Amino acid sequence: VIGVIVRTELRMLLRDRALLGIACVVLALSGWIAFEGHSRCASKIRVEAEARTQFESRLSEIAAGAAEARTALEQGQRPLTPPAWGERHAAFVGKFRAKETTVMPAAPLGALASGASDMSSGVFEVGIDASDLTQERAQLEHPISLAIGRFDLAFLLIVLLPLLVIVLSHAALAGERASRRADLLLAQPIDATKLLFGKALASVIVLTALLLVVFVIVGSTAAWSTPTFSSEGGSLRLVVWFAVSLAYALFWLGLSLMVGRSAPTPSSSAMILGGIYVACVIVVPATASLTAQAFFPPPSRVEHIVASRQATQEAEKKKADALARFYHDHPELAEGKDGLDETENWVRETEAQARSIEETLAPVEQRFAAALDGQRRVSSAFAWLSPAIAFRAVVDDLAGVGPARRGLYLEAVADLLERRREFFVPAMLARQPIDDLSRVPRFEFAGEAAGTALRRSSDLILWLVALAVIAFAIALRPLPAARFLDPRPAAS
Amino acid sequence: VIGRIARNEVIRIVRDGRLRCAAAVLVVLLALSAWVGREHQQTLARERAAATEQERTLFVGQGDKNPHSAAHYGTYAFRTVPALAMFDPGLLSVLGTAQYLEAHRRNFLVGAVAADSPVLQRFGELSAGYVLAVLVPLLIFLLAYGAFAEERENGTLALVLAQGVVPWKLIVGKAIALLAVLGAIAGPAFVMLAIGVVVEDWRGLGRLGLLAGLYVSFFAVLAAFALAISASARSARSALATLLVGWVVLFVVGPRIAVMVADRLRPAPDLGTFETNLRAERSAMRVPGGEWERREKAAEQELLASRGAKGFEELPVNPAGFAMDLDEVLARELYGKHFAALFATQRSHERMLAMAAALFPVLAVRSLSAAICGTDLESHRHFHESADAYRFDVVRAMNMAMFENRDPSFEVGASFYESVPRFEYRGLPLASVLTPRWPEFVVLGVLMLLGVLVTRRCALRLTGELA
Repeated sequence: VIGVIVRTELRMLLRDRALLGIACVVLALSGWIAFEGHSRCASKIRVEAEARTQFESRLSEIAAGAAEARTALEQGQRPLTPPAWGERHAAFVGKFRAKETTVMPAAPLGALASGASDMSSGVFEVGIDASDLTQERAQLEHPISLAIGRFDLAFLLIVLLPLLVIVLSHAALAGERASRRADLLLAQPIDATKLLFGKALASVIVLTALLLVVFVIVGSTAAWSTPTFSSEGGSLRLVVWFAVSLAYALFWLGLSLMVGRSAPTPSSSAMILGGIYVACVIVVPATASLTAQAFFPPPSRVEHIVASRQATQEAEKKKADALARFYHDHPELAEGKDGLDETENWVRETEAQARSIEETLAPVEQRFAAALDGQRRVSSAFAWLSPAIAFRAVVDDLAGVGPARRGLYLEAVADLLERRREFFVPAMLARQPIDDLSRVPRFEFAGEAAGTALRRSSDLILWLVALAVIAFAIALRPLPAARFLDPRPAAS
Repeated sequence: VIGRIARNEVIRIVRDGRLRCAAAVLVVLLALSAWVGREHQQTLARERAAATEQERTLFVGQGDKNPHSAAHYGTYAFRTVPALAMFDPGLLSVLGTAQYLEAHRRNFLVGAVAADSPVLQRFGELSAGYVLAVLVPLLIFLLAYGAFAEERENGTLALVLAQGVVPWKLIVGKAIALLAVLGAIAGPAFVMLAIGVVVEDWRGLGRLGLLAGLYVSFFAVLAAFALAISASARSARSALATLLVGWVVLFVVGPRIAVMVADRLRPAPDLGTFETNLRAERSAMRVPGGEWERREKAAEQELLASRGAKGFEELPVNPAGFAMDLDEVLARELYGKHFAALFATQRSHERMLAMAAALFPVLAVRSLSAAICGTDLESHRHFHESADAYRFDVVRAMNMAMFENRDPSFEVGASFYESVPRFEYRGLPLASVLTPRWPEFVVLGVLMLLGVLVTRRCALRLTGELA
């Protein structure tokens, strides 16, 4: 019997012009999203490649300059060490000329979601000073775009998918009831619960098919949009994303059937579902955002800037102390310090001062990072309030545009700084020339395995699945025939 | 008659439990957003005023140094938060908060609050402006969908018309009822904000009045269209479906699509390209016989002529200060040119969105609302330019102090730093903010005209129905 109900229901759904229209719009929008996402990733990849090429060509230029300087010294029969200021000097190269521009690689599913990735440029110029890590390049993206947000797959699924589900299913039961077809149906040897089950199954088939088509369109584009798709397990991320989207859609379907069990007419069913939709997708997230802002605001950038300035000024004022401490830490360099030329004195003074500023700033930076982290943890608890927020948090993380992958990137930038310091600073202090530039450390970012992202989001994924199961279990519990029928007397 | 119709319509709305519930939710949201908005604005204003004072203390206490080194040490200008940001924070959270003012460079503002905010921020900021521009229209649609359609289904519409009620009076009465209900919902929040604004800066009241006018006309237009749809729909159900789909398209999906299309048509340059172009042009100026050299010679001759000397060696000056000053002048011109191009891109983007507002009017309302509150992009650019003009004056004063002292070891100290005026930012006057926003006003004007036409057509339809 269920097979017949499902077939009949599918036939009716496929004949529904409004539904077909909306499905076509969703598919067209998916195509557009795929195209937009692809060009956005392509431009990111271009910026990344340009930065790398420019860095390598700068290194070649420095190597050529150094070779020229060496030749001149050899021809003039002058000593090769210590190097004079210029292309052979470690401070000149490491601190100024050969700063590496690091660009955060496009996320594995960056073509499908932008999350908060467009809020910052993800570009740093790394030399050998810790202050380089606090100076992220400004974001030139148009502010209105940032404020309104992008139309990406995450948005389509969060905002439009529930509407599609409501259009698809709001009249499934209430329509039969209001049109009095329920009386006719139950006059047949059909159980109301089976009818409900059949209708639910038909809707699940339609939704799964539609989501599959959407994911084939956008997934195939995402796969060749970024190289990180293959290196960071894009296929697995995409499959899980599909499964979570299905769970999200089934939650709305379950909810719609639940409302349909008692709504007298399709319009009252639509009205109630519309109210729940606006509450879950618009009002609760915006209220949660407001609450987070009011009670758990991010630490103040303004106060952080002033605290950093104060720390820097303090360190500058203790310039002499810093140098004394430097020689205390490096007694091997203290010998002959009075005979140093101006450049070398400057190098040591700057290094001593940079370390002093770094030490004074460290607690300020740590306080800020801890406050930011605490605020993120508190506000991530809001994800449990609405399936829309939970879904957004999960898909942003799966796509690689959430705070976790950015955190990894910042760690990689800090690691580059550390490796560069290990490479340049000893040579700079020992007055050794930098002759082999091929050994200059390069930026490396391995990204994150899909499994790690999955494990991190597993609680929210389970929560979304549980919501779908609960909604379905309530919606599909046995339906007494009397409740399926319209209690009002039929019009004559 | 109109008064009686309006009263009946209000009773219909108030009796409907679902509408009462939706209205109550909005009252709470508006009150909450107004209260949080006020707290937030005051916190930000306090924090930035304190930061400005601390920064001044740091600047004055930076110690004795070469004037040009002091110019490199520079200072920070913190973006002021206008009082009306409590109503509509506009773009404040995505724009930077602090501009570093130093020698040779014109920096962007850094430290956007949104960059530190969590995932939630992407769902939108629930300000009073957002509630009025995005959520209240949904309420209008919910209140209006049944105004005619339900009465037609019940048969009361025919009765009312048969009693000789003129259709346009019926429409006007219902529209007045809708606006009265909205007034009751939004009124308390506006009063709360008015008190907040008076406490901060009473001059903001005029702007608040303008905001009230903007939203009332927007709501009137929406009410006219919603009533027209209710009057022409076959059933209350189809009126509701049309209005709900319309809301999602016009208020949620449409603006995002418009922004992406505008982005595609006029993409903003990335910072890498912006800086590379700037550096390249700066290097080109410095080639032997180039712009820099030419300008240097001209400026040198002009200065020497004004002081009646043949060379710098005849004067008690430090030529290095002259070179620094000239570099500052040229750098400012260069940065000015590149920033002007960037701002032109931004402005053309804004113009495209103003045109898109003809399709998605919420874009016009949000843009005008932010402009009136001083939280739009134009106000931000004005702050940035004012801060840079201040930077230029301060750096030049320092370079001149260096130039006027022949001794290369000359240093300035606290008394000199204290003589440097503070950066006092005066916001953009309202007229200057609103003048470039004329396309949005045109869009709203056209919509109001269309609203009148639609109402007229609706009245004719109702007359036809009676016949």
